[in-house]
Amino acid sequence: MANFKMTVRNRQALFWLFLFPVMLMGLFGVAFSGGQTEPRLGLVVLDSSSLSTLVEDGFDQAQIVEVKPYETVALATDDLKAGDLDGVVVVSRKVRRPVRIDFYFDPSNTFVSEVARGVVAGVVERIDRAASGTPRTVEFESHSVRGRNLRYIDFLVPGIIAMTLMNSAMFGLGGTIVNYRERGILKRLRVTPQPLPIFLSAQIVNQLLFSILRAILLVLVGAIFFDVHVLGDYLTLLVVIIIGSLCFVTIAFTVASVSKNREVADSLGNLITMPMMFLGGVFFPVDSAPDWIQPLIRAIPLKYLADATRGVMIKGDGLASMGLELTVLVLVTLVFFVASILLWRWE
Amino acid sequence: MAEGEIFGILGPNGAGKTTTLEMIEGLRRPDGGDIHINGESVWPDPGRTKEMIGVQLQSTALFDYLTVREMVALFGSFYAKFLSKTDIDYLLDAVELREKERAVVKELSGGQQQRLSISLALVNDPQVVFLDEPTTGLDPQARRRLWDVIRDINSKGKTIVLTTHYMEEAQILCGRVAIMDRGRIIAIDSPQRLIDELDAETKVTFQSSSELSLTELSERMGAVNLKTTDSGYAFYTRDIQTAILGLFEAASKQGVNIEHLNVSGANLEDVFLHYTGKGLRD
Repeated sequence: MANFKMTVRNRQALFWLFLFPVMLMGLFGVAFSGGQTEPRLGLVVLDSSSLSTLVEDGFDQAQIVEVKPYETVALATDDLKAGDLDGVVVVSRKVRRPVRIDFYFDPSNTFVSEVARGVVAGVVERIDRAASGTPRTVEFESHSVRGRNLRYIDFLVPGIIAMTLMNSAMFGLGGTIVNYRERGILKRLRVTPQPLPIFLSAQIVNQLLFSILRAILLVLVGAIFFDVHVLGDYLTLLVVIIIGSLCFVTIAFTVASVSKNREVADSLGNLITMPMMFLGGVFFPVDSAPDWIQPLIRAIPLKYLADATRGVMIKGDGLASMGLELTVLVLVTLVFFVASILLWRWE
Repeated sequence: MAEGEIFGILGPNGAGKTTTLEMIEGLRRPDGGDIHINGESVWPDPGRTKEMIGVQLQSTALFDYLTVREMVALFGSFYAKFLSKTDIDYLLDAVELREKERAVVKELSGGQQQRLSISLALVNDPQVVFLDEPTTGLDPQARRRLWDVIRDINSKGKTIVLTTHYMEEAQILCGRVAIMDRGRIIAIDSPQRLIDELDAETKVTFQSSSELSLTELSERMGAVNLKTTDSGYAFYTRDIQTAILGLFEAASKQGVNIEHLNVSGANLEDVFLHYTGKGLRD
């Protein structure tokens, strides 16, 4: 409880804990999320009547969309799910019925799908008016299709969450421990009967609590401003966050134990986190990096944490499908747990 | 060290005062010998004695972002003994921090932090309180206030062990002092007895309303090497009674008034100088 209060009252710490990752996400999200602006529609025409031809022409004339014809609905929706299309328009007609237009779109890609929907609705209305007959000549219905239309921001948000778990452990918790040691607070605690494990556990619980709060904030900001949604379940995400946090907490304790003072701890922390941040695939995918660097990438714990977080958030993976990642993280945790106990210093 | 006393460990920096305390407090394992507090051996397992002692370490090390009251409550939670709300009130009153109970540690002055640090040494109602240079770095006013606090705690039956390199502090507070240098205790007794044992000469200075005849003065005052100084007269003596009586007799006979009489006996600084050949703060 006291830990929680102290963290909340330390304004500077709060900035690094919460505001900084959000800013980073916003910055990268806005800077790199440009790309396509013109919605790409797949058009499947299952009817050859004059009305259907009219619809086809209508879409061809709509200038802000790129239209690609498909033979079957299945082929088109496959491309939609793969993220190659932003929407699929299916034109069909049953005997003695108005022309039916079904519009399939991926709701995770709000901006583009809204534009596409607007275009489709506009075209439908125009045809309706042109036909000017009674009753309604066109029936329109839209369906959402969950696709895997991955944008840069979808990749970025889980990466940032993983990165903040690392950085807050290394600089927040590790720095605090070194600071306490430097100022003699650890020594002061040592003359009380309170055992060290309880004190450290309180620190770790506090760290986990703030990591979870921060992850919630990042997920919320991602959802509200960037339309990034967690595909997997939240419990799995929570487990990944806790395991990842503990992993970096033990690394941070080890670094804190071998560092003489705050300056050393910070440089050592940077030395460790910087390469992890860039080679661990936080900002950019590293799977396509040159072969010679791949062994190094595979030695980076953050890579596994980022992969696991990404797995839950954008692939909807469960714990079972991230066995490798979790095993590596747990092993690293155990190794550094032992190391930090052996190297622990009071003064 | 005896129960109920204020015991001072006096010595220059690096004499081993803090190291000695750390061994007693259970922070540093001694190479040899035994340490007992209240009949309990501190080593090899200092866990039991930690419940009986209160410690203030040399550097004030506190959590910046907790309030005074939270700080006391937090440290209270480290001990088996339960610390109630009224206990906290009592502790804060004892160190005169009641009106600051909602202030965050970071905002406290040096003297206030030091007093808070002392209150933290009292949260478990300890039998022995160790204060390591409690007044170092404080201004004279804050120092005096802290002395009152320490005396107050002692009057409530707690044994206090403190280290200092201010001889004035030791002289005012301590019932007994140990003089320490290079890791050894070279003298241990009450400040007054240490000074008496030194059998040092008393220094007397004074001024006069008009010039005095020195030869007559010296005759009446016993063998005293009386000298004139820039601001008057000065002499040293071991027989202060004869000297002062003689001084006033001679002066009244000559019709001269004695002004600004100042008698200064030896102090702990002189004792220290005598034993070690160097000053306390070298």
